[in-house]
Amino acid sequence: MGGHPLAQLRLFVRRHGFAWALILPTLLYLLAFQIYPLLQSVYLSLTDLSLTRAGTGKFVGLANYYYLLKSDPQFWLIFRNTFIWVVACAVGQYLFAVPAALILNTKLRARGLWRGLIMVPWVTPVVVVGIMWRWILDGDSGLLNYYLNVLGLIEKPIIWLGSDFWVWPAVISASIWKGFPYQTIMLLAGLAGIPKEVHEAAQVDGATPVQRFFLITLPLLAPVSVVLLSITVVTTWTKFDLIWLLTEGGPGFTTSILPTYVYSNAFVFYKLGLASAVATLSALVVMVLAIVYMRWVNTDVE
Amino acid sequence: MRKWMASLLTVTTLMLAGCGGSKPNETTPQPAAEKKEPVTLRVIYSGTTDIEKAWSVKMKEQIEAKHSDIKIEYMYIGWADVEKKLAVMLQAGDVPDLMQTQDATNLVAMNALEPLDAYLSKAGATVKKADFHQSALEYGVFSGKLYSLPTAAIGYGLVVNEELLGKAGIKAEEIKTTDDLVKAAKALTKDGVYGMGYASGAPRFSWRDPAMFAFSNGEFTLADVDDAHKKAYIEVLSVYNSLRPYMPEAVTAWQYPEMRKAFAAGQIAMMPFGSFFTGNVYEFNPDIVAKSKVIPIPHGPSGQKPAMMVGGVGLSMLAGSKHKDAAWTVMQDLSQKEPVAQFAASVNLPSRVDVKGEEIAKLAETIYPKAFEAHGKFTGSFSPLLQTYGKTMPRIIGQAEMEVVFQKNMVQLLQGKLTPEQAYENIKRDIAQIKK
Repeated sequence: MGGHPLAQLRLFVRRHGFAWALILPTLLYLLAFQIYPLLQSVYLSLTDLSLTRAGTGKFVGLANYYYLLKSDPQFWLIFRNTFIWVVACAVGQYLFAVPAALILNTKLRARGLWRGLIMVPWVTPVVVVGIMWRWILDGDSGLLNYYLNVLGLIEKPIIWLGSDFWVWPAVISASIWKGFPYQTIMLLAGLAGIPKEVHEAAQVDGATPVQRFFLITLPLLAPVSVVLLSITVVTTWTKFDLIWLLTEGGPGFTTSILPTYVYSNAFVFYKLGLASAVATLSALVVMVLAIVYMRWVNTDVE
Repeated sequence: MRKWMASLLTVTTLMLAGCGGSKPNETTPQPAAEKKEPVTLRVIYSGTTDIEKAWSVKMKEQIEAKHSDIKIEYMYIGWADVEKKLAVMLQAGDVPDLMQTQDATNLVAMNALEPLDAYLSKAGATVKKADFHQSALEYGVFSGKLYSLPTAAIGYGLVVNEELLGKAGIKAEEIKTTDDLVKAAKALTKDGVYGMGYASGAPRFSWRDPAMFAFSNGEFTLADVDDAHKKAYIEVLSVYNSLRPYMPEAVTAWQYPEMRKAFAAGQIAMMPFGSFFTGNVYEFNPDIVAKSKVIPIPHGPSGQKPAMMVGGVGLSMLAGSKHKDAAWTVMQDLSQKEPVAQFAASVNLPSRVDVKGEEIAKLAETIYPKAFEAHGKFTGSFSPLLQTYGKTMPRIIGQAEMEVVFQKNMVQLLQGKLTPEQAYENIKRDIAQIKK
């Protein structure tokens, strides 16, 4: 563009001013409440700030990162825990959501009622879910042990939340119960988008229901499934509340994940520099996952 | 052109409408005290049981009736969350005026609290240090400065179900050593009842209960992982190892609500607990109060006699408060004999030397109608024990971090995966790392 700068500015404003005016509030919100805190957190991660130790807050470069990656006895365990938590919850919710969506997609009696009821776990506040599952999983008087005993499946009560072996299945079960309704509803929408004629044609060709499911339904659900699993992975990665309510990341750090480790360092140990470093590393991993997803999502389903 | 200008104008107007205005709860800076302009004091109150809240409401009414220029605005934040929320508030510059405190170690380290010594020395002060039990007062002292006026003393001991002990032929007074304790726990464990409880499911409680035993076995803390305390430390871990068969397996996941519920239901016969006992079991089973008694935590081989930890619940002034004179007025009012007696009638023990057990029983009649006599008796039996055995509870920088590593090893000890010696070595290594 040639011409006087003022003329160029006037031209720009005439062409793009309206669009910028519309996105300006969102942009300001993102800058104030997302970008600035993110940058501030990254800066804090480069300091040794601790609220309970005088004289801290100095710039220490990458010392926090070096400590986490090389010296922290808990970090790699917690990093592994986070992957276990995310993959198990995402896959577990999906495995329950698919049959639920298939059932709700049929001509069920009172289908509307069932579709509403299935949302109950999703709409129940997570604090209520946490308290409820603590009592279900109680080793002494919990419902789960009671019914397992009645069915003859156990002789001795299992201390679900106090056992190194059972605590992860217990916590993941609670998360699957809470999260699968959302996936069910999304998959239901996806199923509604599959043309009936495809199934009818396959039926005419002699395909069994199982074949139709694996060869038609699942592939045509792939775009929805990929988006759904990716969203679940990202949201579960940052999910702190349910684990904290059930175990506080314990015993010790057995069920700690990166978000609970951030919380512990920031608000229990008051080590803000270290907590910010954990948060930054966690955000970097999520960013990598998001980039991988964005490249992969262009898969052709034909 | 006109369209986008109109849109820009609309957007700008909307943005300006959403901006500005004062922050919530912001009050105008207070002029000199002599002018006595009305002030609203923001008070963080952490006693969130119905009984404790009732006390706070009553105090607010009395104070506002007495001082027409003071209004009280409570923020009810439970003990588990108060420090975290306050740390965020302080960083945001949103400083309240007063708060309830227990262990103020971290708050003092953050320079959040106002030292009170100068206020107590002022002419016209209506409270003095000698009004309080010294062990309770000392709990609020850090580096020689007082940061908290105690409203109540919290004593810690072994609470036993005398009815269950009687059925097993055991007298509570006979449990003096940890060997006596293990024998008693063994005799009590039968017919669905366990001898001992332990809330190992949360780091805070997983630490606190053994800390009582450490205190009674030579007055050391669980942070003392040096060689001088190694023998005594392993003795404490060994006690828990010996008690394993007499505790429910579920203790590895229990927090305080589960443990006190089990005690109230008669499922466990003994548990380390504090003088906040009645308020915490009354809702489950008021009758349990009459069956319960407190004894000192038994001492181990390295202790000559028991010691009982004494903490406190107190009131502190925030260093950033904008209404310090009014805050000090309210602190003094809440530290007088009557409010302290009423608080002790609700929970814990009186912090003042001039409040007696009989007064508490009388006041407790409306609070615990089904157990006020038993509460008075329980509280009355606690106080003399603290006189004899009470020592101020240690305050440890970095305790929260140590609690987590301690819990991890205690759970493994209780699961039989570690011996006491192995648990000690792990705890020593991890705590030494934290102290660096």
